[in-house]
Formats: sequence, C-alpha cells, structure tokens
Amino acid sequence: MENQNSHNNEEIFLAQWLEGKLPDTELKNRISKADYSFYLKLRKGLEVSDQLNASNEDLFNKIQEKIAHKKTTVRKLQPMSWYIGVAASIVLLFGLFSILTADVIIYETDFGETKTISLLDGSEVILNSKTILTYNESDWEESRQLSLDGEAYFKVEKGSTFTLNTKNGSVIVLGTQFNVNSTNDFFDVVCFEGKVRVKTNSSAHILLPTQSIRKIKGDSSNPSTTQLLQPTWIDGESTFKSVPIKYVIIALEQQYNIKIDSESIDDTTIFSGSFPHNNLHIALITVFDPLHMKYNEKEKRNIKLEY
Amino acid sequence: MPKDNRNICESKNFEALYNAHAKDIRRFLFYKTQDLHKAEDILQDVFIKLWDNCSKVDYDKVKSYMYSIANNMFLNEVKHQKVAHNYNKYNKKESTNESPEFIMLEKEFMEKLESTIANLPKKQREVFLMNRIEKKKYKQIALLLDISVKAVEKRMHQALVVMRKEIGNV
Repeated sequence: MENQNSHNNEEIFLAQWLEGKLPDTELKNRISKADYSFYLKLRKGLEVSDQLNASNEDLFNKIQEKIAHKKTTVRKLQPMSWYIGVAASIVLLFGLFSILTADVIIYETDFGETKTISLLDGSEVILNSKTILTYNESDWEESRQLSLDGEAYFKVEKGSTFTLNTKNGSVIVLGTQFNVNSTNDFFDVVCFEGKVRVKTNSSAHILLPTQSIRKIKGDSSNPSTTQLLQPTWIDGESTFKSVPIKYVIIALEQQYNIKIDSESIDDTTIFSGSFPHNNLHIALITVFDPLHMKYNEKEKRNIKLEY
Repeated sequence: MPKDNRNICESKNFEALYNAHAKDIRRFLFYKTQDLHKAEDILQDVFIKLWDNCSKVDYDKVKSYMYSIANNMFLNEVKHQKVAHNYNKYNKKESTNESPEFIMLEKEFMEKLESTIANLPKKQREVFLMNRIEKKKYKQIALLLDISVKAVEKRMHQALVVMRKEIGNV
C-alpha cells in the first residue's frame, strides 16, 4: 500500500503536503529529520512572508481611529480649528492648563528596572533603577533641557545645547555620550565621548573622554578617569571606584527593592568593586565581605549590617 | 514655516509616510518579536507617537526616528514581559519546553527564502506565485495554464526541493 503510494506521488508529495492534502506525520515518515524540520520552517516562513507582504491598509485605519479617539490636549492646532470661534477660546482656556502640564514628559523606572528612551531629536537615554527623568516637549527644539534624579547614560545627538539639570549640579553638552549619577548627595559624571561641561554650585569643569568628576555633599569636586567605554550597569553590573559604602548601599536598595540598616557600621568606609543586578546573594557577598561586614536578613527584604 | 509636503502634521503627508515605511517597520519588528500581532501593535504605537510629535520631528530624520522608537518600544516591551526567548536565538531549549512548535524565523532565513522564490525557474515560479500570492488552488492553476493538475503539483514539488537546496540548513 505504501509502496503504491510512493510510486504514485513521489514527485508531488511535497506539493500535496503544502496544500494540506498530506498530513505532517506522513511527511515526517517519508523524509529525513533534517528535511522535515526544514519544510516545517519553510511552511511557516511562507505564511509569514505572505502576511508581511500583504497590504496594511486596515492597520492604517486602526491607527487613524486611535488617533481620533485619543483624549489629548489641543496641542496641534491645524489652521482649520482656529475658525471654531467661541468654542475654541473656551477649549483653549481649559486646554491651556492641560497643555502646561501635559507637555512635561516624565520617565520613571522601578526597583531593578532599566529603561531605554528615545528623545525627539534621536538622542537616546538609558535609565538605571529608581530614576526619574523629566523634560518639556514644547521647548525641545529651542533648548534641550531635562531634569534627572538618579542615574542615566546619555547618547546625545548633535544639535542645540543639551542641558541636564540635577539637584547637585548641571551637565551641558553639544553631542556626546556620558553617564550621570545624581542620587541623594552623590554626584558623578563620566564622559565617554565628546565634550561635557559640568557645573555645580561651587565649581565648573570640562570633561573630555574618559574623564569624570565626582562631588559628594558639600565636599569639593574630585576628578578621576575611567578605563571603560560605557558604564557597566547597562550590562547588568554596577561598578564603584572608591565610593563611600553609603552610596553603594543606596544603589543596592534601588536595584533589589530591599532596605539595608547601616546604623551599626561606618557608612563612610570606602568601597571599590561591583555587584551584579541579577543575584542579590552574590551582590551582598561581593560588597560586604571585603569590608568585613556581616549582613543578616532579619525579615524579608530587610537587611541589617554589623561587624 | 515648513513646506507643505514636509509637514508631517498634514494628514496626507502622514499617510504617505505610512505607505512608504510601515511595511518595512512591521518586518523589522517581526524579526525582533517573532510575533506578527505584537509587531503590528507596536507598529501602531510608533505611528501614533509620530503623529503626537508631528510638529517636532525633523522630516529628514523621520525614518531613523521611527526605527528608533520602534526599537525602544520593543525593548521596553521585552523588559516588561521578561520574554527572553523571543530574540535570543541560542536559547531554543527554553522555548521548546514551553511551546514545542515554536519556530524562529530569522531575518537571514526570510531574506534567503524571498530571494530564492524570485530566482526560481520560470515555470516553477509562475505556479508558485499563483498559489501563494493569488491564492489559487492547484486545480485552478491547471485550468488557467492549460496543463494537468499533476503537472502543477510536480512544479510546486520541484520548487520546494529547490528551496531546500538553496536555503540550506535551518
């Protein structure tokens, strides 16, 4: 029976299979494992290829519907809408309030989260955990200004002056790649490419690639250099060079959503090293063992440090 | 004041941009997500975002702007879902545990597939395209080309064999 079949459709069984007249199991029995895998993949590839080449007009209609339904502010006033007399001025007054607040864009990351953001000019920002970035969209063209609380890595497109404001100081660039960490009273800027101008309320600096500046609380700024091509936290590891353990503790808390009690230890102890983002246990060992500090998980997510 | 055909906020220009780039961006997103529905969802969000920012995006940079948005939306979606296997080619065993039929379609495979079809011998290509693109059954193709159904099936079969040879290993 099988012999008769193979004699009859030896030259056409693949066509029959593709059409659905021959079941997969029968095909599997007739050809090698490798061939069978290939033809399954080919069949799926053909289906997807058809879909990718198909018209996407329906999708455009969906997009138009969504745009029409969006309850956004009266920002893009096309010439037409100015002719809607009184109604327009009322909407404008009401809308003005929402314009002023809605044009401010806020990006925020959670514990252990990183986020990549595209700005309107093609500049890219990667946010580390527990970081807030805000900027005003309507001012964007004239002056690129943003506010940061936390840590972020910037790749700025050439264009108008780009100013990053933080509680501890501001960073001004024209087009470059740099990392800024402004967490509590810890301020650290590293320049990876281009030129960066850093201003604090007590000093101003210009950083060239590999140069960095650090300021902690009211202390004077401390220049340094880096061997890296980009910050390590982007690849899942936070690295610290001669940083008081106090700030490493904050970084651990923000990455892992834990609370660390450091009352019984000296939190000005200097730490150099790094911790991974994906394993709390290893992170704690690599940070506290070298400093001869013991850690104790008293309750879930609550860690006490002592000697 | 931007020239009329460079003003993205004009709906006809916006539509022109869609017609020019949407298919390619959808394809780009498919290769990343390996999921056509997800790719189309993100595609919609990309164009909605373009519309929202239409007055601020430089017309000369609109293509790279859209790809950048698409890529970032994809990355954020991944981080949110923690679905590593969608773009990690080497992690197949994880996907076979959860969905044994998951087949990854890489960009290289798809491009090879499409170019092989375009280069098929004329007789095979004719039959192949009528079946795939015009969605005609073998019987209809046989009638239209004035050949037997078996002849149609032979050509389809041969086309598939050629693809096996040309596209090589999975």
